[in-house]
Amino acid sequence: MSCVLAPDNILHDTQLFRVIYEGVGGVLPCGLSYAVAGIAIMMLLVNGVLLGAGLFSWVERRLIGRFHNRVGPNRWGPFGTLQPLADLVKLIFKEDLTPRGADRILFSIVPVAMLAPVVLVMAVVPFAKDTALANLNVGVLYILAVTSITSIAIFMAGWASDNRYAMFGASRGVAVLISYEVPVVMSLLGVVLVAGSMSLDDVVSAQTVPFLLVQPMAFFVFLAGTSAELNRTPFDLAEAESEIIAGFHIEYSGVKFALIQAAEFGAVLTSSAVMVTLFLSGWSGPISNYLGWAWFLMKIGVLAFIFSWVRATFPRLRIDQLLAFAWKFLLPLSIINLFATALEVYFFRDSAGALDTTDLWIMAGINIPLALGCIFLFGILVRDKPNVLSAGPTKTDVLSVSVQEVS
Amino acid sequence: MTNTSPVPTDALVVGESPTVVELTTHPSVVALQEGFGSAIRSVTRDAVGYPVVWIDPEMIAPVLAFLRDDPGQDYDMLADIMGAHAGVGAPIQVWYQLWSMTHGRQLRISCQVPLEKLELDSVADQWLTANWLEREVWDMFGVTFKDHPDLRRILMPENYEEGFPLRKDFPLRGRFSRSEQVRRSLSRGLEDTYAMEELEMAGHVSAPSFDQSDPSLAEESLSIRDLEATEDVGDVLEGEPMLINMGPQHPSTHGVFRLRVTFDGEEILEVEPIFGYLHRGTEKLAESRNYTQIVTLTDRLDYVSSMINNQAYCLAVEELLGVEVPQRAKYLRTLTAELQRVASHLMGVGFFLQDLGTLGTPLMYSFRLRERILDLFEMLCGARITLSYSRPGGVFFDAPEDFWPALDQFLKDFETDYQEIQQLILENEIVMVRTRGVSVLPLDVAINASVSGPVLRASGLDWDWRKMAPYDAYDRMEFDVPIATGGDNYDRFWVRIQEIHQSIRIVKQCIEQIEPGPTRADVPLVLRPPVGAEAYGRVEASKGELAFYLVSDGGISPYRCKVRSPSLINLTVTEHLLVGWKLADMIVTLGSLDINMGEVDR
Repeated sequence: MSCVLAPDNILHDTQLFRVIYEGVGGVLPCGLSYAVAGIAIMMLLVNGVLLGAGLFSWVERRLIGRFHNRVGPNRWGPFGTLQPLADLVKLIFKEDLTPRGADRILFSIVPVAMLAPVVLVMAVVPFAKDTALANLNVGVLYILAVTSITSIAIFMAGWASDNRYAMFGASRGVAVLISYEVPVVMSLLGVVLVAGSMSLDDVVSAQTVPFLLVQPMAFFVFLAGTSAELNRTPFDLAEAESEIIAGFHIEYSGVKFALIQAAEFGAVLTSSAVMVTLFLSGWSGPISNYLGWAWFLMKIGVLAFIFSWVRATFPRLRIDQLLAFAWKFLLPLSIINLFATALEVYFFRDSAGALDTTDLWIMAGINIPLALGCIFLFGILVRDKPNVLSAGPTKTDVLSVSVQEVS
Repeated sequence: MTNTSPVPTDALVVGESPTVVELTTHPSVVALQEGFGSAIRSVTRDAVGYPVVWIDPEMIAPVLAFLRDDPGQDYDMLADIMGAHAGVGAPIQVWYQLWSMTHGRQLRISCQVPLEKLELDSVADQWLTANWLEREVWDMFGVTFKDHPDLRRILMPENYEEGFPLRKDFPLRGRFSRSEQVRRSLSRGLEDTYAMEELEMAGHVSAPSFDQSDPSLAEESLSIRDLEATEDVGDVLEGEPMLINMGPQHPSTHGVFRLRVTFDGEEILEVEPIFGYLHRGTEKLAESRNYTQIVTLTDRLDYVSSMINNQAYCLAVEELLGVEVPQRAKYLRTLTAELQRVASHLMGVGFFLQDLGTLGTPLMYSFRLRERILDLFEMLCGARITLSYSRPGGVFFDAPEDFWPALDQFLKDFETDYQEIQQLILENEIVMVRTRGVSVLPLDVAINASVSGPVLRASGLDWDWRKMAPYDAYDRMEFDVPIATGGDNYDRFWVRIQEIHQSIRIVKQCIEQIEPGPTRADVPLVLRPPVGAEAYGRVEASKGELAFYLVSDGGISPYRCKVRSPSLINLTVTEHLLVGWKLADMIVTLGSLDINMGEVDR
């Protein structure tokens, strides 16, 4: 008795799933082996993301330690690599507190609701050739839909905690997520236009030239928007430590806190994975396609390092400045990018509607100067009016002249 | 208001021999004798020759109003209000320390309030400072200030019923034994011990708006169900102000400090600073220790700049005794005070940026340098934080020989390390947009609230006691006073950054000029200043004007030791700075004031 996956099955392209399914299918009935293979690959995915999150938490703490002129965690395991394990054990044994006024059910759902989108995003990301769990033909749309769950989770946490700091964090978080969703979607439209498909596999194979070069402005907008959606400095308003202590997850402790932290560290990795797929030509590398996963992980590492670097360097923006940055700076940029890309695609595409490598290089040649110019121009436009951003009740005639002149 | 340097124009400069000044030449005293001759009881001099005018307590308000408003006097800054109790049954003495910016004069007005009629007119409507300082006098001595807008306890708990701690009839060790205190507090109901608001915070009483179980309050509760049930949803959805107690446990309140803030969304509608959580009764303790022992109490005031506190206290004691400090000790004090100022400002700048939301990188850069300074202090006196290095008459020990090469090495490393900090933060775009033009402190408000130190200098006034009344070796030092005119958060931050450069300049000059010699004057172990001597030892501390006001009764300990704490008085402007700004600005503004709760609560 052997089971063979039908070619029209959505999981047919997933090599790993097919191998498990056909292997187990030799012993078990087909329906059962389908379930076994599904669960196996789900476990692989979930545990992979959690393991990655744990590892990244160590990497980031070591990195930030170096940025701080400190050593960072180095006691437990070689170079402190077992630190995440120690943290996990400690957090599991901590008391799991629920505030008295809290909405207990909502309060308990939140950690899972935070973690779920992080794992779900990885389902469509191909980390090597033919390895995406599901090669959805609307992969980009799926990613956008799934990541929006985070904003609901954040608001649930804020509302259920019965804490005013949590409520502050939740309303800030939702405002930020909704605002940044717009430029992020607009920037992705450019990528989809060039690739001609929403499937992530097709986007990777369309990248004979990395879209980082073809769509530099979209990459910039997506990078800024993503770090805002990840709640990382300089956009970490929802959990601004010095202002609202921990924001929406102020009341969480023990395992729930561990899950939220895992979701946050995991989100950095999955966002990096999405960016690698969309802009850095995914798993394809210059040497060998069989080392796809290695290239993929390497590129994720580079992006994650950039995220850590930014986090250790910048101060936080204020909420109005943050929203102004999204609406006045990122949104115009992404609209310009969309227009330019649409025009280029209209003129360069061949009769079949496809773009070849030469076309992509020409587009890169146009788009890179355009991106630099637009970012520079809008930077000056926004910068020219710093007092609009920081206008307030000044009751004085003492002019705010440049302090450098005064001394 | 002129921005010229208010260097004293008459001869009343600290350090001058008292005999040079005839009391009657002080123009304000002359004017007071002409205008209020009948109200003046006597005119005395303090240990260095400043005139002290004793006034009839009923006449305090008119006299102060005259001194403030008369163009010939123009005392626009009320530096301090001090109370004292000479002994059981004696009247309460209240001093007002005044400073005229335009004339560069200072004057001390005092009065004796009889115990039978403990009442004075409030001057809180004339000076912003007076509000809290009068509250403190009421808190500690029970002097009622008529027409005071908000006469409550300030350092003691609001429902404190044990009396007035700084009166001489208040026992030093409390009214009851420790076991009796425990027994009483256990047998009392919670409502007797804690304010309703504290119970609400602790969860013993539910806040009315969130109590679902009480049917009488259900209508006021804010839940989705109620919103749906309410007919006029529009009115409800307009929202209502939200009260938040930021602190006492909060990562950015720089200690145990509470801000009672009413928010409309993120915007601040009302703000009230509440403190006293760290009140340790330093001033009461000082009354039972001898003059040398008090030095260790001063360490614990502003615990990030102990060196300067020691120096200020020792200057006051030396003024009382008329002791001349040896040159080497003066230089050592100047040097250590400037190193301490660098350490304190580094912490101020680091925490300011931490409050701005950096993930600790500038803070760690600052602490790297501060560690080096603490190591140097450890070489000098064995301690890192609570130093007690200055002693009345000089310093504790001469610097060990390997201190000087270590100091040279520090100064060499400082250049590169400090440059790194500046490159990281000074021109940062986000720091700029977050701080430029935010929470502007106008100069007239600053003077009226008598803020001092970097906060005042950031509002545009050249005001530095190291220049105006040089103490120790500052008269031989060349340095600039960094001034900014914006008065916003960035300027306060910038002034501190620049002051660190000037402090390092002073340290280098000290190293060049210091010569071998004794480090402590020949003073007895137990000091007994003359009866009735009073001194106001004042230094430019890292947070502002720090002064110790000592009054002697001829015994081995002062009968009053008042700390003019710059952190407390700089906090006076909190409400002015914060209302109308956002939550995020509030934290940053608090960081830019650079307060230290050890000093605020004493």
